[in-house]
Amino acid sequence: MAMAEINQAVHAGFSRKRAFSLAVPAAVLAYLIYVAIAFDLAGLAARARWDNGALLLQDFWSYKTHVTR
Amino acid sequence: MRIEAQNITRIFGSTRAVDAASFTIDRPMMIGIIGSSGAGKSTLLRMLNRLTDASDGQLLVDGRDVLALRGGEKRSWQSDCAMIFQQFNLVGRLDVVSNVLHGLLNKRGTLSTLFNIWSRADIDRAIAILDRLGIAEQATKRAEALSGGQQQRVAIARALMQDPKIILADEPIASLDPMNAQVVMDTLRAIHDEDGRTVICNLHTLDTARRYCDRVIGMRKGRIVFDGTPEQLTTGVARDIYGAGVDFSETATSTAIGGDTGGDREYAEQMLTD
Amino acid sequence: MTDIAQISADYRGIAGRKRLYSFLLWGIFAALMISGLRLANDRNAGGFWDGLPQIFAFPSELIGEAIEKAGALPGHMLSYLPALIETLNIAAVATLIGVIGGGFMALLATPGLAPWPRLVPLFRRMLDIARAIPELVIALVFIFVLGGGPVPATLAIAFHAIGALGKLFSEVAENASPKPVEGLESVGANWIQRMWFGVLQQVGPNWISYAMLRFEINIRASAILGFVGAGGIGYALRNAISWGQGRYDAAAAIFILLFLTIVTFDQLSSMARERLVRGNAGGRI
Ligand SMILES: Nc1ncnc2c1ncn2[C@@H]1O[C@H](COP(=O)(O)OP(=O)(O)OP(=O)(O)O)[C@@H](O)[C@H]1O
Ligand SMILES: [Mg+2]
Repeated sequence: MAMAEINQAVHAGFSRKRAFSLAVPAAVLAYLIYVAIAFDLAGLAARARWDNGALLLQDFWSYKTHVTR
Repeated sequence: MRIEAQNITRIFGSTRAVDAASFTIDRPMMIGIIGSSGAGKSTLLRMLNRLTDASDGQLLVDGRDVLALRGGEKRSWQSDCAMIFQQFNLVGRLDVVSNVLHGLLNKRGTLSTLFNIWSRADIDRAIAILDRLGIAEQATKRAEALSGGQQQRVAIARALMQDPKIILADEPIASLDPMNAQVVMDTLRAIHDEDGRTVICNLHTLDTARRYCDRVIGMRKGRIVFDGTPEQLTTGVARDIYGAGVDFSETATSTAIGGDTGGDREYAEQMLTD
Repeated sequence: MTDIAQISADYRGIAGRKRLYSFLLWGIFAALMISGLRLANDRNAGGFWDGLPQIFAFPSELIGEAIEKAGALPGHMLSYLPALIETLNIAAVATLIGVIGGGFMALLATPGLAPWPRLVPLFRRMLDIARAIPELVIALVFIFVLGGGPVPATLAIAFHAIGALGKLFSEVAENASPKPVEGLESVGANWIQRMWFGVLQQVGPNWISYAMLRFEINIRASAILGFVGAGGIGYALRNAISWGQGRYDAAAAIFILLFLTIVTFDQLSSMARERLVRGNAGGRI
């Protein structure tokens, strides 16, 4: 193999590697964005009942049970 | 560049692996370190590269104590002080060029290296170094697919990629056959001669040290017991370094090759002396 | 090498976990069906227990009805597709979080690789805790706070997955060769670079293999959590059954859909794992 060929093969290999290592995180990110929309993450904060969470935490502290399920 | 080691010491539990080692290197040279197994050669080299922390002492490089460096400054020193290992220590699953480019990891941004983003110039330089070492043909192969001698040359290429002031080599030829051993030692010598880099090399055969080095340091039980030219390294001195009796023979100085490979070793000596 | 025995023992452990989840899933499914039938029976005529002998008539009734309404099945299956996709999304995102979180935790908890060696026991303990709490318990807490829907289920499964995968990942990483890492350290590479190039290159195939097994488990877990109100196909099934009679065809559609999905993903995953192992002769499993 001549040096020119080696050079070309190496550079082509690195272009491929670079494209791949950028495409994978990009795909993951795109998927997460899609899921965030599908799961209505934005609306979740509004729906969350933090008072419930506080109540649940209180149960850990006191013996008086608020949560009965 | 002036390198001054002052009382470098490393204590493992109760053993003083390296005991107050001091030496000065005031100009680029090729130094061989010899000594029997357990003498502390590897520990000394690893302390110079900061793979192992020293218990005591200083290594002044142009007046700066590199043994006291921490974090990023320590890694920056490591990038100026390349290390070559007996077992090559390459990333076997990655291709050869990637392994060579790893020599730049400290000098390039973390994120870009993680995403395999290297400049054209860096890749070209890696190929040029591989070409200089005669293994450009292997550039796109996986490192683990190469022979031992080829892998060691990839490791040397990685070291050269660092453009280091010093190259440390811990028994670089101990797991190679005689022919590859000679190629690797010739390469290290050429790097010293052509680039003017200091090369410090742990060796397990006296002949190799005599043949390739400008200066030989002998260690015994953690202490430096000899520091001089190869000519001063007589059989009597060698006997002291290795702590052997009158039946001492120079072919018994190998630490890496076991009993039944004696034939190989003789062959190696032959190869290296003729 | 003893790690081979260790890892194949882990593998059998995961396979057992998968069987348990399958059993739970189909068990709950059957229980829901029966209770649904009972409900319908109560409304139709007499008591369930009076008509106990008739229980053998149920399957025939069910099948008869299914055949009768066979034409409606494809339509039902289509209408439950969004719910199925939600179940799969829950499992996939939870697995993704589990792999990333578990991977980080594993490296922090592996002696020899950890950036803070003294904190290794702490991170191990955290993984143990995450693994010890069942998904269902975490899910109930999250549902209570966040309300129903897919997010609490995802968080619950992900939390458990971090613990389970973290431990397995750490075992694999412990058996990785330290030589490449040392080589990278000698050039002055930082911790992230050492882990990325020195460790992940070695453990990658095994980690992916474990992650795919976890995905298979998580699909089941996600369907089960649906039954307790965490969205997806499990939730759809609960509604189909508990809202009275005559919806066995819908339940059958859900059953077929879920069954086919699980079989398909198990097959895909085992094929992919097979390839990983074969392309990785030195790396085993
Ligand atoms: N990580 C360690 N923990 C404890 N003791 C160590 C460690 N590394 C080295 N030692 C001890 O320090 C001493 C010197 O070891 P070192 O590896 O430096 O010797 P060496 O001259 O390189 O020997 P060889 O020729 O066999 O490679 C030995 O007694 C060894 O047991
Ligand atoms: Mg040694």
